[in-house]
Parts: sequence; C-alpha cells; structure tokens
Amino acid sequence: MAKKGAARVKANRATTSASGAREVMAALIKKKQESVTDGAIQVVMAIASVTTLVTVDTTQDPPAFEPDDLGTLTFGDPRVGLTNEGVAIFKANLKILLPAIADDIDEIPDNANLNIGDVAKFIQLSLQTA
Amino acid sequence: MRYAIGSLLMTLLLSAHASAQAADPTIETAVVTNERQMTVVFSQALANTPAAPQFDINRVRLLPDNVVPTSITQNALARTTFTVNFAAVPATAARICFDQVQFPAQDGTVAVSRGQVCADLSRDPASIKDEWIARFEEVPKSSREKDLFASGFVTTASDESAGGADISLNPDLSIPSLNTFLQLKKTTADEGDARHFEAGARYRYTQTWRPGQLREIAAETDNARVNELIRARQQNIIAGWLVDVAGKLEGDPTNFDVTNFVAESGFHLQTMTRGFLGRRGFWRGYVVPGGIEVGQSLGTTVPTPVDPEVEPEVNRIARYKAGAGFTVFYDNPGTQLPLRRVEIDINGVVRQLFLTESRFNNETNLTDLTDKGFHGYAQIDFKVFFVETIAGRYGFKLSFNRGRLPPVYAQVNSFDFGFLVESGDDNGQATR
Repeated sequence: MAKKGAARVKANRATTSASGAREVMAALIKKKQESVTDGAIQVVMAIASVTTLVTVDTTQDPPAFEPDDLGTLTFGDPRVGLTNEGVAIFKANLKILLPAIADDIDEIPDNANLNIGDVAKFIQLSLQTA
Repeated sequence: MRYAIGSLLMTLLLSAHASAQAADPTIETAVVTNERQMTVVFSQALANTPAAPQFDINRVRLLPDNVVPTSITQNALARTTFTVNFAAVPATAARICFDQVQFPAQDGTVAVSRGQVCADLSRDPASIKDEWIARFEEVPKSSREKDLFASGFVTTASDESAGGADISLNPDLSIPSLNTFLQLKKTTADEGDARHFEAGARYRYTQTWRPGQLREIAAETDNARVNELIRARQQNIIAGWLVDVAGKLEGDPTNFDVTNFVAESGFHLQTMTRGFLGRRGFWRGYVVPGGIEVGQSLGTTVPTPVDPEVEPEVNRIARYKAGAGFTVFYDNPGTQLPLRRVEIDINGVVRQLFLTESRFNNETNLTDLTDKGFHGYAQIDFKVFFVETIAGRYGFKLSFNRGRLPPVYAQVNSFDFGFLVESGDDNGQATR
C-alpha cells in the first residue's frame, strides 16, 4: 500500500515536472518566435556586417547593440558611416538573414539618408505579413 | 482673502503643469498583419521598461469583443512600433485600446498618458507597406555638395572669383535596383571648368562579401556563437561588390555642341566602414578595378567629311575606366581643441580612350581638337570644422580638382577654398 502511494506520488511529481517543462519550453519557443518576427536584430546584424561602428550582443535579453539609439539615426550618420552603396550591401545582407521577404527588401531605396528605425518598422510589417 | 489667493495660485500652478505636460501619444497605424498578430505604430517612441502599462496584456483590448492579447513586444530599433500577439484576432475586431501608455517626456522624465490611447484597425497591410515605400522614395538622396561655399569659388587658374555648380542628383524611378542619375560639373573659371554633364539610368546588382558567413549566422541558434561569427565578419576589409550597367547621355553643358550616348558597365568593390579611436572616426573606400564605356557620338564640333564613305574622325566611343575613392572622418565634439570635425574625401577616375573623341582647346576656348589615349581626373576635398553649435557647424573647405572628364576633356586645374556652414539638422531625421 505504501509502495503504491509512493509510486503514485512519484508519478504525480513526474507528470507535474514534465508539464512544467513543456510550459517553459512553449514559453521559450513563443518568445523566440516573437523576437524573430519583428526582424530588428537581423537589421542590426545586417548593418554590423557593413560597418564596425555598429556592434551587437545577442547573448543579452533583449539583445543589446551600439549605438543604443541606432533606430533614431540614418544610415549615413557618422555614427553608422554608410554610403548609398553601403545601403545596397546592407540590403543584400538582410536578404540572406530574412530570405522570406527578399522582394520587400528590394523595394527599399539605396539611400543613406533613410532613417534606420523607419526601415526596421517596414521590415517588421513585411515579416508579419509574409 | 487668503483662500481666494490660494485658490488663484493653485489654478495657476495646475494650468502651468497642464501646459508643461507633454501631449499624449496617439496611434498612427494599427494593422492586422496575420490571424494572430497586429502591428501598432505610435506617434512617438514609448518607454521600454517591462513594467510600463503598454506591456500589460490586461490593459490592452480589442473592441468590441474585449479580447486581450497574449503578449506585447516593442521593436528594439523602432521604439514607436509594437507587435501585439493574440491567440486569434477576431474577424469582428474593429478597434484596439491601450488603457494607458508610458513615454519619455521632453524634459527627460517619464510621463503617462492621461487617458486611453485607441485607434481603429486596418486590415490592409499591403496599402500601408506601399505608403511607407512611397515615403522612403520621397527622402532626398545624399549629395556630396550639400554645404554652402560661403565665400564663392577662388581658383589658382584665374585672378577672378567665379561661380560654379557641382551637382549630383539621383531621382528615383521606383523600380528595384534601377536608379537614375544626373551629374553636372561646371564653373566659369578658366581651367576650373570640367564641362561635364551626364544623365541616365543605372541598373545595379549587389552582392555581399563572403555570403556563407551570413548564412552561418542566420542558421546559428547559440547566441554566444552568433556574437563570435559577427565579430569574425567585422574583420573583413571588403563589405561587398556591385556591378552597374548604365545608359547615359554625356554633354558639354556650356552649349551641348558635343554630346554622346554611352552604355557603360563597371565592377565596384566597397570596403567595410571601419571605426578607429573608439568610434570617433572611421575610414572607408572603394575600388573600381575595371569598367567599359562604349557608345556613339551624337554631336561634335569636329567637321564631318564631305564624302559619306569616309568615316568621321569622331564617331564611336570605346573606353576602359577604372577608379578609386577613400574617405576619412573624425569627430570629437567633446574636445577642448579648436578642431571638432575633419573630413577628407579623395576620388579619382582614369580612362583609356581607344577611339578618337572631341577635346577642348584651352588656348582657343573651342572644342576644336581631338584626342585619344589616357586621361585621368582627381578630386580631393578637405573639410575642417572648428565650431559646433545647435544651429550648425562652422569651418572651412579646401577642394583640389585636376584632370580631364568626358565628353570634351577640358583641362581642369583648380584649388577651391571657402568658409563652410553646415546645418545641424542632418542626423536621424525620420522619413515622416
């Protein structure tokens, strides 16, 4: 009788532990999906692949990047340092990181005067409607 | 009496506080993007603290069904923009409301909206994307010569000051990878006038350098490894390469007596922008190792032969072209030294003409010569800014131009000097 009770407790603990682990995993997957679908980090990585003035740390939650006000700058800002040709290469980088929206990325003009935050906003909309 | 004065003071204080408090943000765009998500764009950036009310799912709802989201996230780059996630967006949902939002006030403090922030939903994301693309296309492209030469041109080739224009425009055709261009280099100074005009359309193919590195970054799930891969990628010197194919009309802008139609193609290697001195400075460059220009003379001042069987001296165009450019930038607004910002920009192009073309005669001031062979052109711009205020930057500019440009290859040998005033509104402007 005692053995059956212990086994039942053990089974209950296992079930609770397994369901708890599934919930944690589901939350992690959901968070990962959410962080992917706005494309902001991919935009930062694509810029960092053209200029060393921009750096990113993806191990932090949320990911950290420098300059931290990158979204308020234009591509041609001296703190980013891109030319119109640099923007063309940024777009080529972004099409590799986000291949599902390559056609939408091609619509972005090769213009270093574009605001990075506005481009990020457009990328988010493109990803979520892809 | 004291009560009346106190009441008056309280009224004055409240009205002063009300006028000092920032206006509440509004929702500019609320669009359903798929069956479980919507994108919401506010009129200004909101706070990103996790405890802010805009992240509280119990304080956001869809109307009229009162459906609450499962989560709300803010775009890390576009802090006006949020993703609102639902188990399912009801087909009857017509409006989204945030009970309250927190936002940075102009005085640096954090403010909270006085009431709800709501907006009607759109279910047409394609139109919104088109609208945003149209706004991108309205943003003027950067021109190398946006600064004012306050003192005019002064050249070593002449005792007189002279006016001039060095204009580059890039009107957009709204076709991906296809751009138009217009360039004019013209002055009234002797030996300062390149007599160069070109306008046309260019198709550009772009490829990143070592795309396998980016594919590896895209596939990697370990964030620490992603950081390593990005750091390794930033060690590259080359960022990417471009191939341009263009058709253009060249002309002498003095009178367009000499005009050519030219088709050209070029291969362009672009370096990374590489920072130095703790991001206070950077350098970048490009190389065009090879390009070809072929075309046809449409107008020339060289007499054509009477006998139609004899080919004119100036007829077809065939050139090899190569070039390079290098830019160095340094900015230190915190320095006590009288040297806030330095910009050095060096560009050069060389052409080998395989067939005879018209050439300007600097002695007769007529395009009555012909030439072929090697021609080069170099331009060096040096800008120094000494003073920087909110209104702008003040300094001087030296510009050295030497060589010959098509279509008439007039000899240019000019040294320009002038005081410089640059407005201070050229950073971070949104496309709105």
